[in-house]
Amino acid sequence: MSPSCVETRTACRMAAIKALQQWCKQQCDGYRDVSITNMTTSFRDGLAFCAILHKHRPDLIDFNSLSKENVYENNHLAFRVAEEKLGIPALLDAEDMVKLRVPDRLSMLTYVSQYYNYFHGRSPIGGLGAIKRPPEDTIEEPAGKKIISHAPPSQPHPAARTGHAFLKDNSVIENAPVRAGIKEIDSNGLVSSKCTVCGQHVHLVQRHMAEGKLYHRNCFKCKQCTRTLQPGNYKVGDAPGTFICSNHHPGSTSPVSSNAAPSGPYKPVTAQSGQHATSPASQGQANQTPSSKWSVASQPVQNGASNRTVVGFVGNNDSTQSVGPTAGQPGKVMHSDSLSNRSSPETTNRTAMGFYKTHKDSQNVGNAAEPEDPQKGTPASRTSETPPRVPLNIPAQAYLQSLKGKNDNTSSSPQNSVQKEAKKDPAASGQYTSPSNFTNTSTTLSPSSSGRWSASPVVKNEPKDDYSSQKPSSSAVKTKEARDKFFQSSTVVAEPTNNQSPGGRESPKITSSNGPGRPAALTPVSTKPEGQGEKEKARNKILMAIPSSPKSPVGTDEPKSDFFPPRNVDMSQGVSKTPVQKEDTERPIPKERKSKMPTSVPTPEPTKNITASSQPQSTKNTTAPSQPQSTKNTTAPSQPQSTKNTTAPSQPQSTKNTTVPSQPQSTKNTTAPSQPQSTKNTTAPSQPQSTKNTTAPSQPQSTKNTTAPSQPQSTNHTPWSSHPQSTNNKPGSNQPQSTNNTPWSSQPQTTKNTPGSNQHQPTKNTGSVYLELMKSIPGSNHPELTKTTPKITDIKTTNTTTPEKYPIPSTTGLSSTSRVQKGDNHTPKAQTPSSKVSKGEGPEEWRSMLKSVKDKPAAPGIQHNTEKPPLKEDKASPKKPISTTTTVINQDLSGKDRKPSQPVAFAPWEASKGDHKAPVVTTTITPNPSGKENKPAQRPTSPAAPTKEDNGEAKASNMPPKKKLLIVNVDLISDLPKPQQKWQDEDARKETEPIRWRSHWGSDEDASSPPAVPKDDKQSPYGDGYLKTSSWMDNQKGTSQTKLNSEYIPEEYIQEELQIIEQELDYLELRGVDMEKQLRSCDGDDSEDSLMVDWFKLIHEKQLLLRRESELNYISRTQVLESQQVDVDTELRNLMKKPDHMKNAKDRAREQELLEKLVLIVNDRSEIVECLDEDRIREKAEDEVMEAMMKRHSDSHQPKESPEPNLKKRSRFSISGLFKSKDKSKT
Amino acid sequence: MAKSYDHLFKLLLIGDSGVGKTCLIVRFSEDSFNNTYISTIGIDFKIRTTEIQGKKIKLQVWDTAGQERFKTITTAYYRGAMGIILVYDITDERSFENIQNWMKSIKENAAAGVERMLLGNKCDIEIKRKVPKDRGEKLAKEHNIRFFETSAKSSQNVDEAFNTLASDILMKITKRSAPGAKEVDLRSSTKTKNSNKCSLV
Repeated sequence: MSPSCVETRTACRMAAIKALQQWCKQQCDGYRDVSITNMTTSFRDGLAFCAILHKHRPDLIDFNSLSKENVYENNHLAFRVAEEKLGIPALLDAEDMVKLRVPDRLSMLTYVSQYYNYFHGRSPIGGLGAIKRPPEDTIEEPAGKKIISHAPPSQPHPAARTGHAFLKDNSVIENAPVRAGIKEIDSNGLVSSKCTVCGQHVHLVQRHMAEGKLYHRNCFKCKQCTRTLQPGNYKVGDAPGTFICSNHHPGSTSPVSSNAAPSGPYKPVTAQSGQHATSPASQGQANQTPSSKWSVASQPVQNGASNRTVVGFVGNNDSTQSVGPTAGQPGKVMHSDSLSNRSSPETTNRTAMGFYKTHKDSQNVGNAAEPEDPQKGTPASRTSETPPRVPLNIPAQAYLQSLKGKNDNTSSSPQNSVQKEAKKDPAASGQYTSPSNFTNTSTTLSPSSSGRWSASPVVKNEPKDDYSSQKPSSSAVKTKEARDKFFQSSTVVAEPTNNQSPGGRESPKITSSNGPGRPAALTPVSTKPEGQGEKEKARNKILMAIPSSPKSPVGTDEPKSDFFPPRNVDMSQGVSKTPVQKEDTERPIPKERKSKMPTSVPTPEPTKNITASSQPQSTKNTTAPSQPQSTKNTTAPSQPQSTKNTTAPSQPQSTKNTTVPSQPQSTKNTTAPSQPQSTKNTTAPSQPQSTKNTTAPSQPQSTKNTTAPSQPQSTNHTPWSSHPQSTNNKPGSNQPQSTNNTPWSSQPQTTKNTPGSNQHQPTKNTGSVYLELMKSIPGSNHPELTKTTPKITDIKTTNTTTPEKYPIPSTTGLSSTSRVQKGDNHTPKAQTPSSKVSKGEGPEEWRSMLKSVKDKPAAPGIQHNTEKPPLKEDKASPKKPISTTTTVINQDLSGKDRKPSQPVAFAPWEASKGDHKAPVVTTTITPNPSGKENKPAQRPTSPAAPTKEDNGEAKASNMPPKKKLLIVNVDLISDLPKPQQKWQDEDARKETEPIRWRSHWGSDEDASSPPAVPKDDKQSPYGDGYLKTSSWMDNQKGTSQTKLNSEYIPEEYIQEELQIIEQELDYLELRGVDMEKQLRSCDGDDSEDSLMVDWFKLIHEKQLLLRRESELNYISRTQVLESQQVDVDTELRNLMKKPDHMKNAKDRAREQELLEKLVLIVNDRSEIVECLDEDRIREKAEDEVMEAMMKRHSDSHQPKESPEPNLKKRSRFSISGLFKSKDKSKT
Repeated sequence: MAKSYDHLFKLLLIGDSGVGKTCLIVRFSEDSFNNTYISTIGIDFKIRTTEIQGKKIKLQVWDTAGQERFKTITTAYYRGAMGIILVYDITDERSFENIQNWMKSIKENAAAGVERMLLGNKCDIEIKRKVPKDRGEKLAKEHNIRFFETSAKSSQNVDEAFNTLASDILMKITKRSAPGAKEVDLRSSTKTKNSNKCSLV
């Protein structure tokens, strides 16, 4: 700014500022070489900081050893000590102090105010600061503490909220690196004001210093899971400059890693086009979250979409539309991600973590998918993500949007072209799909589905869709598709396992290009080159699929289902993918196609759809559903189901791929679906579809679910219908979405644009998805399927193992649904729906889908299915919920529409509640010749679609299409259940929401309110979702987590709230950025002081949010620890029961190990208690200061005459008072 | 929520194995009782928020294993405790005799000014009583600490014991923080209080 002016001003009027300066002057009184005459240059040499620190904590700094000349050393010392010892985030960089003759005044003010706050008992801006009280204060700190701290270094220090605490541990060492980073940054331009990850300017509010490097808070993500890293919850990653969730590692590292990879994809997604290119790199880095903040940012979009939230969503949408979603958006997204991440890591309790991780994985998968096709891929990924988290839905929406864009494009004119492309691709995609189908199914679908997804999102976002549609032109669509494919493949790949096959998805076209990205993304090992990656992925997928499939059948993942489901799904997908993998490229393609498909999809759609759907499913399924699906898809599990399905499936496959799922159902469905499709295509597809769907769904479900699900299947039916659509559409699914979106037509487009679109439209509400699926399946799909079949056959070989695949192929949705359904038919459906949604349009379609399902019976078939399924599922089995979740998700997606994200996220919820679901978009892309991807998107609708598709496919082409499950939503849902909802709402309102938020904020300035507020605002819309989610969470936890304490807060709730907080933080940061601009533009005029007050107020709001966030994280972590303790205790007791003479060395070692572990857990728990206490104390002081500040502010405004005096007095008052009290306490 | 309290106190229970430390804590924190004996492994704690003199006090009650084998683990937690409760079993004379050893352990490991309290548990089993109440009172008086006979099973005096200890700590803290010079007074007052309480009990 204008330092000189500032100085003069400072001297003059700024009450608040002057008060601050006055305080500093007091503190530095008596220190040599320290003279505070302004708030800039007086601090430049760092001695002032050191003096303030020394005054209060003489033990921390040897002031006499300092020299005025050592600017860097002085500042560095002060910043480091303040951060490490006091928890005051280092907003400033010593480098800057050296380089800038006149330090940035606002930065200085903000930073110094933290000192003021801290030493007054108020916490520093970051809120972090764990104020470590002098030992003298209390005798409390037990030796145990120390132990604890050591033991769980990674664990969040309560104080560390900002992560500073963390830094504290690493302190010096870390700082060094930081410097380097900073320097580098500096070279770029303004001193270290660039985010290490995204390279964008970091505004004061967004500042997050870690390891000496500057980040956007949102960019500071886990390399593996892409979640925003929370203060004490991260640790340095393997790769330099990367960070990962501390909880992550232990818990579900592998998944996480895979997730991380996904994140990479996500990132790409966000970036979309740009990202695509970057995606690979980012993906590679993705794992290294930190490094690839950009990617993260992009991811955010995706993730954000999925997780976070509206904002992210919006951002995503925007981004998708425009590419780089603006930093802000990405940031937002990132937030959501971070939230989710955070939640997962932190809270999460490990279980939760597991979930999250799974979610993440799924997300990743989804992301991966997304990455491939930014739009499509994203959609897929989003969808997959969405399931887990509501936010996912958003992402899904974003995806959808992107997809929509694509779809729109496609739909508009592109459709044909797209379709053609799709067809072309489809063949490939179809093949690919098969590989990818498992995981990729979604991807495959993604193409179409993505389109649809986007569409689905779009649906929700419809406006966005329009945008997307507008933006992307057919060509654009193509490019997008390519990108999508790319991302998808990458994402898929990243996804862990199978998804890579997604790469396969990409494979078609993108694959190769994507390959690299995928590998990185998919495999934690980013190393895999794309080409290799694909193969490897395919192999991995296959392997994965196989194992997973078995497992999946088991429903192992269920507990984690949300998260795991994705994984499982992946697995399942992987299985299916395995085949797919072979076909991977195909599948990936499918997804991409799906996403892209929308554009080109028409033909390919089926395949794509299938893949996509399968994927989603896989993701969702991962949990339970996925397993089922997987089983179906890939392996034996499916066999049982498959048996049913198989038989049918094969047929169905023929139609579509068959989707196996559908197969059984498909048999029925198949016929029906195909008919429906035809019908749909022709005319009343919707009806047929509905009929088909209904039947099919149930069947599919049954097939997929084999078991009870079948009923759910009915619910699924809807989905199935969607599936069919998806299969057909991938396109189909997309179509459904498109139907919903009609505009989106992408689905229709994909499959048969017109019909599809029409259908979609019709279906939309009712069974748009169905229609879509139907359409997609029947017409295009079948052809494609048939075409693909050959490929599929290959896949079949692989797939064969998994009949499901066939089904999947038919409709990814089916497969996915089936998978999902495993758990519950619903899941599949849900997935399918989701996929559909995603494909269709994102939100809109979803919504319509959902609505239709719920609201409308016929078309609704799907919806009904969704609704019913959830219910059934819920009713049927609480645990199932997980599986259900998938289903649910699907349902949600299809049914609810709450927005894709919700569906996805909700899947679990839905399971419990039934509304949300569908996060999982299973897009099974059948490689079918038609190459159509059966619309992965459809898969969202997958359940229904798949069935239909499957049927259709089966009929059309016996060849099993490759299924790609788009589990998009599952992850998201699980992760961001609430957020998702919000997101959805937000998405719908998008821009509006911010305003709302603001308003809320304004009203709710209080920290406590923020979360609540968001909820309230958005809750109403999401209300159901929340509830559902919550219920879902409950179920899951109840089932999965052994401990059900009365006080136990379901992880989901926590995650929801965290997401909300994340959104709020995003909003606050946005506001803060604006305010910073204002502050900088008003040089010392009268408005500055009041602006400063507002500024500090905003900072305080952020603090409050961070507080709540940390509290939630503590709670979550505590719960995880408690459950862990029980486990360890149980094992230890069993060991100790053994008579000593019976014990061998191994037993003793284990006993000792467990005992140590137990102590560590207890210590961790205790540390949390202490951290909470420290926070409480600090917060109390903060509140007092804030209150005083507000009073001053009001005073200054009312009596303008003597604002300063008042301020001074008060400030002095508080200051003196605080100090006194402090001193006293110390003494 | 998690932070809606005014003070956080850390209490620690020690005593021979089987005297009922865990049962006392469970009774206090969860108001439940389990007859089956499950020896504590190492260390654990439970949280309960109580209200004393209008202040919300969050009590973190540490439960230690009484077995000798875990002693190295448990003694590490003495230091962080603001209040230590010594527990013996009135039906087990040896556990009462060992109180002296536990006192010694406190002296060696805990902070100097830690608040202490003596509890004779299982007072519901009057038939098997081996340690007369007056012996416990006498011992408490010797150490100038409070004494209660409690029963985790019947819930007798459990809340009273914990709340009394928390109250003493609270008083100690407020005195200390208020006039810095009153610390000395605090102790004396506490002592007097203790004696009073003992008589009351």
